[in-house]
Amino acid sequence: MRDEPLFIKYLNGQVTELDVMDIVYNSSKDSLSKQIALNKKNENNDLSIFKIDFKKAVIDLIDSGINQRFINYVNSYMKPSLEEFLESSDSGRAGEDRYIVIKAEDAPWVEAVICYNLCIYIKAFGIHNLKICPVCQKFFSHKGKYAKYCSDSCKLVGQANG
Amino acid sequence: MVEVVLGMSLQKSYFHPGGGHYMGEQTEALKLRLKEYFKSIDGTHIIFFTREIHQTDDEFFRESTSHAIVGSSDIEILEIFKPYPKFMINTTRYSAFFMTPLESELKKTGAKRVYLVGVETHTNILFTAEELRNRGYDVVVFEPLVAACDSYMHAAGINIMSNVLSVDME
Repeated sequence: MRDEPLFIKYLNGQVTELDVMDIVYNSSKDSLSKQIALNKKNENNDLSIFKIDFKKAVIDLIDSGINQRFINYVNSYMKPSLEEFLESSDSGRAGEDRYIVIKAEDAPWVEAVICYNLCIYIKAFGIHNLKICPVCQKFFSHKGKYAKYCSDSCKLVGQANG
Repeated sequence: MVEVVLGMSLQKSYFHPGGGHYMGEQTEALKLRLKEYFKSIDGTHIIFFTREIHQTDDEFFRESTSHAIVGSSDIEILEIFKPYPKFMINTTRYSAFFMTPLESELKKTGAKRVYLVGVETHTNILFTAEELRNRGYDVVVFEPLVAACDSYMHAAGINIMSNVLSVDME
């Protein structure tokens, strides 16, 4: 069973904005992105409205599929904030390595990283496995296309409640 | 005090003769006024732009001609305005708050007052002004810097904002 992606952990409160900054700091290949991530940690980083909006956007995605309002939403964050690079090995697409660089310090790049993670997830797995558990209301994606509940314990509760 | 200017739909759809909602000759004078305005506030105000991008089968717009379709030149911001926005918000509805980062980005600025300029008075400007007032922002609309394809609808938008929504009209 695979681990949940970053955007799901963020939605479920398992990682915070500060964790996202740490991830960017630790995984960036360029020194500017590292420095921007480091600087950002010392600022006031209240992204509570973003979290509410992002949750609405993901629910809309689950309910309605990929549509222009969803694309507009993620692009508004990603375009001014991130540049994606692709490194491919000689062995073809399987060896592709994607990485992102932060374009500007004052851009909403933390939000953009979370949106980018969602887009990469969709590119790799589609949206059919992305669900909300009707019992605990948490997002999950690791249970497969036909799963209704996020865990066995929620399944028991859900089935007991009919 | 930080103040935000929201330039709405300053894109080819409304301002270019080939645009899906081209508003005619009035746009030439409006372009010049807006250019002067942005030049005068650049550096003193935070400037956000909104840009409409619609899909072809968007049910919401069944009463109006299709415009600003994704992939078309309609969605391009006019060259003369490109240097000014700090942030671009892509929209699908008249209210710039609907499924966009606007609320989150506005909060970050700490602004209490928002100036609205652009098009159209009775659509994007009006419905965004209402949402801003709902959230407690002071809203200012410069009448010479907003326009609509229809003068009756322009006047209706101005009247509703001024007399119903307590928007300051200058």
